[in-house]
Amino acid sequence: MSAMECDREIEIVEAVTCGRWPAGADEELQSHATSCPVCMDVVEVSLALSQDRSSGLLSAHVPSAGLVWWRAEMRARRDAVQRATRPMRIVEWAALACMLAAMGALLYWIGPSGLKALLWQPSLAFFAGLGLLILLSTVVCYFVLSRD
Amino acid sequence: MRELTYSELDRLQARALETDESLQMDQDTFSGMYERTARPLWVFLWRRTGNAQLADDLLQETYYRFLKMPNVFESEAHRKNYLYRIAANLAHDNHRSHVPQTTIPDEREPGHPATEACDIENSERRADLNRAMALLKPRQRDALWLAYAEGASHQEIAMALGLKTTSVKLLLFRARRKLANLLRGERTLS
Repeated sequence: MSAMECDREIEIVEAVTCGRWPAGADEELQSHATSCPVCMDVVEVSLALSQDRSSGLLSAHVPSAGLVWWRAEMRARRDAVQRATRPMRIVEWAALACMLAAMGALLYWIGPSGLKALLWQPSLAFFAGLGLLILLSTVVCYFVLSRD
Repeated sequence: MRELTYSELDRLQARALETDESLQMDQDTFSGMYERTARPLWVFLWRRTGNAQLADDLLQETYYRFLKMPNVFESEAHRKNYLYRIAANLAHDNHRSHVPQTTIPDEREPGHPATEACDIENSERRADLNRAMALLKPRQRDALWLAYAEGASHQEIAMALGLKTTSVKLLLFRARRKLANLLRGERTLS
């Protein structure tokens, strides 16, 4: 198995990334790079990648630090508000679930025949109760759905 | 849709501040660090995703996550490694959740950041590199970039990619040999 690394690899990478390769590099290091298989690959790869990085840096358009900071702050604030309102949202959804369960239970308790009888013989108490239930469920639905 | 009232908003913001939602550094410190790290990090993300717009989005997300971290950084290098770790993970997640766009657009096409800054020789060399890099695995590309474009040590790469140092050596060896052979092949063909 061939060697995976060479002791002189770091020197070569440093010379290439600092723009000192081949001109500016030690002659002995250059002759080593032509004979060592690991360093031959290192030169090939590091030259290609560092040149690519340099031209990328020249033309990279990054947003300003102020803009990135401002967006991060806005997002942190929004996340904080969402976290703070989570218990309220849970309570609201629980209220909605209770309301629906109460309506379901009421309809089940009255039954179809009881409902027919109540509609034929209207009772003030029944309609007042039904009205109150509808009003409460509307208010709960409004609070729950308006936030989402 | 119902809006929050001012009193509700005040109350919520006060509660939000109590819940330690602040960013881990002040704006001046951040600006200094951003000026030193943003451009190389953007090039890393662009090289990794092949999409300038996506690189912009991932850059913002990287700094946001970095600013939200409660970690205390021992040095500038430690900070930088953490930034690259977040960026590499974001790019990796993006690669898994979307159709990967590993091919960097040609320099004459819109979307390539170096369109105006290159001569023909550079352009050909870049095209060779793009083709060769597209044949590597994402982890191999990350490791090679950090080692040979950023000049990071094995320990730094291990920290940035969440790997063991011994694994980095093997990963780099295989990736370097593959890329070098591909580049030599490309040159022979052209």
